[in-house]
Amino acid sequence: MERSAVNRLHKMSDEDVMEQLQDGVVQAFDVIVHRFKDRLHNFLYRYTHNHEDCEDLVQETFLRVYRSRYSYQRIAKLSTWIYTIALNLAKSMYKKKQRMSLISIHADESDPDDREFEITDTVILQDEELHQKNSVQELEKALMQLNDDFREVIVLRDIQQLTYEEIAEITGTAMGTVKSRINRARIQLQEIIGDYVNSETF
Amino acid sequence: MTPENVHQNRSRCNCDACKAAVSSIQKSRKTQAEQLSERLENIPKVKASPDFDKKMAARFALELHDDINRINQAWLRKSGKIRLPHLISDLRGELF
Repeated sequence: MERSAVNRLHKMSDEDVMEQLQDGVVQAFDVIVHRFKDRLHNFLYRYTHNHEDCEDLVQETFLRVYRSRYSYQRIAKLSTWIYTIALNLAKSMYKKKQRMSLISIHADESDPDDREFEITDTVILQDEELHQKNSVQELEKALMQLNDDFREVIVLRDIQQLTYEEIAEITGTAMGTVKSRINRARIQLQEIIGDYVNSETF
Repeated sequence: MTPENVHQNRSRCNCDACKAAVSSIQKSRKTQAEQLSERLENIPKVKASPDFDKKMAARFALELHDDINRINQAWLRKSGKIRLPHLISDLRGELF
């Protein structure tokens, strides 16, 4: 494909690029990957908390996008469609992991080769940096404690900055439900963070 | 209700003091929610690793290869009566 044609692809809207992919322009796939890879990473990392799993999920999401390219219709925004695929994959991976943890074999503590090592952080942080790091960790920890429905909407709204309409479409719930879940999730988050602060203070 | 506990349920009470107290609580809750929302927005973004593109390209190449295989299989199934040269027959063996 000529460079000018690739440049033209880069200037197109997401939906037009998808149309090109549906028409058999394979290079359109690279453009989609380029546009969404970081957004999807940031979104899926809130589910996996593990870079390797996250990367696998992002790759799988893109492959599903390619495989089901003909089922995409322009009535939905491409980003909404891709987030829906990513969310469904994240949910099924989460379920699979939960099932696996039920049958996992615990490490044998008596075996010296089977101990878990704690990696110490050798970087000494300045006060402000340390405070910021703790605050982010505290927030991430609190996010993980929310139930799935609440976490899903709060990540999509406050971290991914999607609109209520988009979230309603992605999660397949009514807009009113989305709004109330977001409010309740924020209240719950505040309570969880409050607990951390109290337990650290006293 | 006694005059002492009339103000206990402020959200139901209609006096100015209670209304002001309720509105101040609601405002503070709203501010807290806004702050929380801002903090969540400012969580450092997680980005794809530098070699993500390479890995993705490799997986996509495999996907395309499988795609071509599928198309070829379908074509061969449809065109079963066509006599294939030896070389293609060998490939056909690989495909099935």
